[in-house]
Amino acid sequence: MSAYSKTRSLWRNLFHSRRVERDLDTELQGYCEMLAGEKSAAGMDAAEARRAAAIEMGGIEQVKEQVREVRMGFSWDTLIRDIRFATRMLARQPAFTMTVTALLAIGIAGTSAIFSLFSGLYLRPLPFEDPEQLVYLNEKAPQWNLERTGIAYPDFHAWRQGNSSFEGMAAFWENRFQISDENGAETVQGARATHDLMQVLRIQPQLGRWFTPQEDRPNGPKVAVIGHAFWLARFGGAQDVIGKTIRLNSEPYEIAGVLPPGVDFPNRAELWIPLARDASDDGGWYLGGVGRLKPQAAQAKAGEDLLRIHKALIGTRDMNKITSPTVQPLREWYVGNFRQATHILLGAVALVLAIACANIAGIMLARGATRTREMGIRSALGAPRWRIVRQLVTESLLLGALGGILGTILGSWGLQGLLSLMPSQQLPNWVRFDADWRFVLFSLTASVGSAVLFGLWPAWKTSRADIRSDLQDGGARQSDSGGQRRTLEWLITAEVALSAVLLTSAGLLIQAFRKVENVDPGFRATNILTYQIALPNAKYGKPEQRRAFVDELLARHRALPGAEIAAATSATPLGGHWGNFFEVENAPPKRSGDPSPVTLQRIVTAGYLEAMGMTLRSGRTFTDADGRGGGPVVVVVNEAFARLSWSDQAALGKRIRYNGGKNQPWMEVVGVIADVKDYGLDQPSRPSVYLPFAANSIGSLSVVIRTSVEPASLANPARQILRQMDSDVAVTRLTTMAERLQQSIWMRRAYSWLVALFACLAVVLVLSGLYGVISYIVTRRRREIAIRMALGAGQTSIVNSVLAAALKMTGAGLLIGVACGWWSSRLFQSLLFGVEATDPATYVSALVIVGGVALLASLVPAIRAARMEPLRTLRLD
Amino acid sequence: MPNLLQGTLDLLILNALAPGAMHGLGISRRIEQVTQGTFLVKPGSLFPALHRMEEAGWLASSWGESDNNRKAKFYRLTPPGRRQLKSETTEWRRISIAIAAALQA
Repeated sequence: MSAYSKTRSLWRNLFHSRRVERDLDTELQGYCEMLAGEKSAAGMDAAEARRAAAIEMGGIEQVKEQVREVRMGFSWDTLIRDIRFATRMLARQPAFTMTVTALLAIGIAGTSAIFSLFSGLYLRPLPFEDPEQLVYLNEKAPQWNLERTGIAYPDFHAWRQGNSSFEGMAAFWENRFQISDENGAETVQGARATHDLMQVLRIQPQLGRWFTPQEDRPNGPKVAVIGHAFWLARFGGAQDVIGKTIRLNSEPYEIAGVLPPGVDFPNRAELWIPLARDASDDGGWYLGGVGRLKPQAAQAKAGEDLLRIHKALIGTRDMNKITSPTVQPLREWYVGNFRQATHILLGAVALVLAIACANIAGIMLARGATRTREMGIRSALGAPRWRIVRQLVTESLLLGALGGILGTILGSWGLQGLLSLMPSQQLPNWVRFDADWRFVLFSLTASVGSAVLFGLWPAWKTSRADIRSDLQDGGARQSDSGGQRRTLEWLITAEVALSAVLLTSAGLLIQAFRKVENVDPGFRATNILTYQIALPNAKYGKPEQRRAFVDELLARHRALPGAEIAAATSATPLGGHWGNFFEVENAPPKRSGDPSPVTLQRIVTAGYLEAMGMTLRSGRTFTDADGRGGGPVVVVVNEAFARLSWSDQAALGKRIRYNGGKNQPWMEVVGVIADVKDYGLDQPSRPSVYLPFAANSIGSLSVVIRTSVEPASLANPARQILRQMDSDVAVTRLTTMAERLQQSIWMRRAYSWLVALFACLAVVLVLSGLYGVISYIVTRRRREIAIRMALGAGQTSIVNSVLAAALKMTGAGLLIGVACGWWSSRLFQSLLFGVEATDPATYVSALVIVGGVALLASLVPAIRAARMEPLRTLRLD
Repeated sequence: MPNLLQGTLDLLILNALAPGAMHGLGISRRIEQVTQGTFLVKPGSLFPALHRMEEAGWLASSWGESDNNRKAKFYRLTPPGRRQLKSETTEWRRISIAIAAALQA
């Protein structure tokens, strides 16, 4: 009965509220009349009785409100009423509503876009079971100036056997494989991996199986596991694919298994074959490792564990004195290089949002001041203070919702734009940016948080307004309470400060970007086409086979119309690192522990240095004869190598040889070239040695063609030549050097200009905020200004006084902002590429821009104030 | 008027309605009368209480005519309301005896 009655009441109150209200009114009116009747019966005059009854009643509206408060569904009911009322209020002031919505939308758009980026990279779980247990393993060698050397297989073998912190660990080597069939060759990204990789990742093949330990050893059976997409594309998803063979690097491999969709570990791999090494392998440092920590095993402890094992090997592996294992979260390996840029962008958008909020708070506060009369009336009619605050907060929340929705939509567009700036394949496949619950939660929190932030506080101020005095003077007070004005001034100061922080940061980053962009790369990137090939070992096992193929290929390329020089190299600049160690003839013996930086080794054909446009400092470049016919091998070195080896002595004629072994022949330096930015424009060059291809005929090459025409136009002719020569050899990574150079700085370009964009946005926000506040202050002061003018103040002095007020706020903000900007630039000092964090030009420009904007924003209201007619203004009041 | 505990006001209203249906002013006059003017129930306390108790299902209401022919809402006890009156009366007696004993001690 009781529950039924409650439900019925709730239903009635919510859906028949009009009848409920009418009934309440009738009831209370009846009460009042009866009361009056009683009094007139007692001999009171009728009018007097009604008056006395009304007084005794204590205000019908208040009683109604008290009854409403105990009703079922009261809070729901008032909420709907508040929303309805707020909607009406906002609709009645479209300019205000639109301004606030737009401001908020701008703030939310930036934050939600950058948050998506951040969330996609760093918050979403990696697509593995218990991903937090997974770590990336490698080795480092500071003495060789290498942060990552790759793991040597004997080290990995010892780690895997001796550790007590890991559930399991696996090693892999990312490779490209050539898959060929009757239709031609294609390169596929893949990996060679140990037999325990899928166990460590806890992935079950969808069909068949992963490699067995028996298959993962030297000269084991040739088996391959394929990815899901590969299976669909090549085998149409056929169930009987297990046991079929594919031609991989010109050799048949039997398919052992198919992995489930989405598995492409380590990175975009479509095909896996056994690593097939044993502990006696010493092919150098080239492996990556992934380990699964035991539950509760700390990463640092695991690192110590591996270090102990690693150093115990020193007796048999001398190099382990120099190298040591590294352990880092798997996510860091994947996307660690985006972290700093993402943080900077997050900081920048947070500042923009803060400025937008300060702007809105200013508008709300100014609007609140003009609404004190409305609030006074409502308060006099019996609305308790919390009801008024609640009403105002509801308005803010409604604005927050509007701005939030609009901002989120804008933000998702912004994100699309942002992602289109990103060259393809820069991110691992598992990184996704579509909206998820994190995004929804964030956008909601940001919108509602800002709404409450900019709404609650002005609401509190407004509701506290001295109601009686406000009603008495009819809202005609000309100047605000000092408190409110000071609050507005603080808001502007804060906005200016925040925008100055953004501007100085943007200035420093843009300067750094320009500086990087103008770095001499050491080669001329324009008009070079380049692509990679890998000659399959099965067909091109002998050096002379490879030499013959490359000679023929380059000759045919040279014959193409528009081609000037064609050459080949082990890797172009920005094309990867291949380290080696050389010893210098007659060099003083090194003590152990002395730094011996790794040398970058490039193998090049005759004409390569010219094709790349490198600068010859002394001596000569390679000729076709170099390295052929078994004569003495000659090398070309870069200046860094010459400086390191012979200080300021001439390098020409000196001799070097590979480290370790009297059997290695001495090689004479015949040329010195200027340093090349092999690792990126903002990265230092390493000492480098160039060796002639004829003496080191490797099978994995980058072909470069210097052209006299648009380089991309030679792409198809080049492909055709290769197809004619051998359809088993695929063209990969075809691009121009100019493109590669641009791509190498895309991230720096992206974050620098994005921060600049946010800084511009901030300046526009400050411009509008300052304009609004100054206009408002001038309006509120018009009476005072009019009196001053009537008393003889000139227009100039009025303009000056308004400008002085504006500059006081701006000046303080600028000083604070510049100080904060200087302080915050330390946070990203490492990105500044030598631009001083105290760079005066940056600070001066920030000061000039913000100061100029402030002047512009306050000049218009100031002139308007000076132009008013004092007598008319005074009469109007 | 002394500070009325909510429970006290409920009990007084239920008690006032025990003899039969009554409108708001009647209830307030009746309480005044039976408590010999100790409790003056103002509309600001009376009506919220009446509406709350009606929604709780203790009271039912209907429209009728007052003595001087005015439209008035009459409240009466429902069966749950009577049970409530009974249990609250018992409770009140128990407490008042306990308090009286405590004050005499």
